Amino acid sequence: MDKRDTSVEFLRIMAMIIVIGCHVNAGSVYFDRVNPVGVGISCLVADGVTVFWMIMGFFLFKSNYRHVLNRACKHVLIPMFAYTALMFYFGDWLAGDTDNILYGLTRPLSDYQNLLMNGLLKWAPVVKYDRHFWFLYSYMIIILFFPALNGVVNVAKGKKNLLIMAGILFGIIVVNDIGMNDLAGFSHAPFNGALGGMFIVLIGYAVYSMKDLFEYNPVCSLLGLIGFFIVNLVRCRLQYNITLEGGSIHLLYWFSSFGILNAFCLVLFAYGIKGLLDKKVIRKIVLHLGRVSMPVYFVHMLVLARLTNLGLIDKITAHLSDKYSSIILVHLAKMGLLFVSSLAVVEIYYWLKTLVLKAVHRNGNPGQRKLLTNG
Amino acid sequence: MAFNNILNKGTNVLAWFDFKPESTCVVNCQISKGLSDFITGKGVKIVNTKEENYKYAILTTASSNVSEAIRQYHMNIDPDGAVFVIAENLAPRALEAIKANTGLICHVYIPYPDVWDVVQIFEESHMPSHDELRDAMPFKSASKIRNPRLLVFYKTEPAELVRTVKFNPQRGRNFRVNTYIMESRTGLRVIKKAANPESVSHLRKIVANQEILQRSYKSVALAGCRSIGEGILEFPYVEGYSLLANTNVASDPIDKIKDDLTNALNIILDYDPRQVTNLDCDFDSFKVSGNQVVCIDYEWVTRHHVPVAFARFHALYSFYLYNRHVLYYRIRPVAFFKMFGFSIPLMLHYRFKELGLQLRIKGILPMK
Repeated sequence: MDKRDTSVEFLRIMAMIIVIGCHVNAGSVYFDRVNPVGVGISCLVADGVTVFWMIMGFFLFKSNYRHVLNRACKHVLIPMFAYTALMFYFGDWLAGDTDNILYGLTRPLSDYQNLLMNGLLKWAPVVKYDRHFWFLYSYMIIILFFPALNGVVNVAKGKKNLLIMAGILFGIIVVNDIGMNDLAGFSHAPFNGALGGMFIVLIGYAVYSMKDLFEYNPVCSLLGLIGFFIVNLVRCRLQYNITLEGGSIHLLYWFSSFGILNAFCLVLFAYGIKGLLDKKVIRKIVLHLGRVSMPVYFVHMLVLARLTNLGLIDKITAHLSDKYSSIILVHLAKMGLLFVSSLAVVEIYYWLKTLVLKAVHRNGNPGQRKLLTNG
Repeated sequence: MAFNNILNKGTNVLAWFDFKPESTCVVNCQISKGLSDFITGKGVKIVNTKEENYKYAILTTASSNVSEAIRQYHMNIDPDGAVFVIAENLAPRALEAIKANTGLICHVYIPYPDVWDVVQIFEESHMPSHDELRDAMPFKSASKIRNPRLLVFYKTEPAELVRTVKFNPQRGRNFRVNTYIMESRTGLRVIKKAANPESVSHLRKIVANQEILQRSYKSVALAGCRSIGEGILEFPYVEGYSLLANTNVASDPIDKIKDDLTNALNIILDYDPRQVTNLDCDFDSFKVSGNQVVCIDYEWVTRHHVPVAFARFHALYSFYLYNRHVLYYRIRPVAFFKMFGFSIPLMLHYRFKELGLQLRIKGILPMK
């Protein structure tokens, strides 16, 4: 039986949907106006990455350095580079930016220089449809610093110590928020992102060590859900005022204290309904979607570009805007379209991969072939 | 050092000039590495003043007897050479005095809005009025205009005079193009030159755009361009008036403005959207010449699916921004766009797309 934790897989799915929601978000400012509904949506879809960091903290410290490095290379680094190479050579064609399949193969030398100097050496994603990989670049930095983080965790052993550590880290993030992110300067740049990520990973570890308090507890689940909306309501109100005054939008980012509170609320929600998630059919669906959440995260930007080039995003927006004039509905429709399309791409990929592997297996192993024929 | 500003920052002050390669230039002032690299990059060798013959000379008005210095250098330049005198914070009377004292053929060029980020350079007699400039570049504060001048002394009147040059330093390097309006005895012509080697391919795209648009436009004619060298395109200068020449945004009733804009939009968006989308369909890119509407600028054309509604939004957005100092007090942007059938979710969506387009032009996001 699959030993994976359904709550964690459910969190992954939610985080993936939130990230998709973030990437189809059209913002909240138009001309001289700030739309409160737009700000609200921006708040609700801001914290996918925070949830991912928190999940990382759940399990990171259960292994040793070598194991963590091996796992990160196998499951993150190699797929990331493979996907980057695919996007570099075929991204334009796959996204529908060009009809010429060979376009990427005839790139000038300057593109390779850019890839080396601004991408690899600066450890940043520079290829067209892998810009959202900044998260994975930061992830790899955190993995490199695993011994240091492990040291912190070992020093802060025991629930009380962990609570103090989480409280201090959260306090720093609150102070950073008050100072408009000038204190820590968190951003999507690899090291600045990794620093914020480390804070959340450690908080995630502390939260996970106390999961007994809220696991299988529907009341906690309800509190988590209510908390999520209340936190976002407060954040929306604050951000609305800040935007009106032309201020920074740092509260809308994953590294804000609101982001951490939201991620915590979602953890409460996911662990509270664990009883429901463990039911046979739901478990199967959740585990499957959880498994494909990473590939969906990989491909969704490319799929978004393809859908835009096909005119579907514009058509759906124009149609729903004319008919209902609802920002929420338009946003949900775009999210739904992108999620379903990305999922379809991933499912087709896995289906093809299975077919190919089966074919290779059959051709490569006559005994197996005979067995299959007899069967 | 009054001239440091121009010489250190303003390579654009001289970037428009067609320096002949393999020529020599005397520089009688301290110039920045940037400007020196720029000149040598054009294939011009910088020599010292002891050389007897050179094609170009660059000096400032810092010396005590400028007119005499200009005459000295002017004597030594080649017949098709030029003496550049860079002047800043010089009173108009002093400028006139220099011109009069030297008695040489001189054209004065005025960089706008200032020497720090030159967007346009005007030959003195073609400098638009203060108000026209403010209208043309509403984002630039007119008060920023200092009085930097570039005086170009020729031996003989040049066969073709540069009237104005427009730069676009705000664009990404791949899209930087210098647009010249040239005047000669045969008439006017427009030249677009790649500002750097990376933008040569952008000019090739303009030629391709022309071919596509010619097929797609039903009633609009195109000011056809032709390549006259690597990274150089020639366009005819189209005499005519704007599509909105009869629209006064300050005094016309809003309904009339709406009707005028609707009519103009129907003309400029009269292409086959299945084939192409012209994102350069600002009202300024079209002129009425004779009884025909002519598209004079078509840099941003895409074969990707872009809804006509977005092209419409883009044209109206540019129009509103251009006239916002007047329009804002008459009709707020949301009401303005609602008037043309854009709902709030659509405004958010298209404004976001517009932002993406601007970021692509600026080179921050990769162009499709």
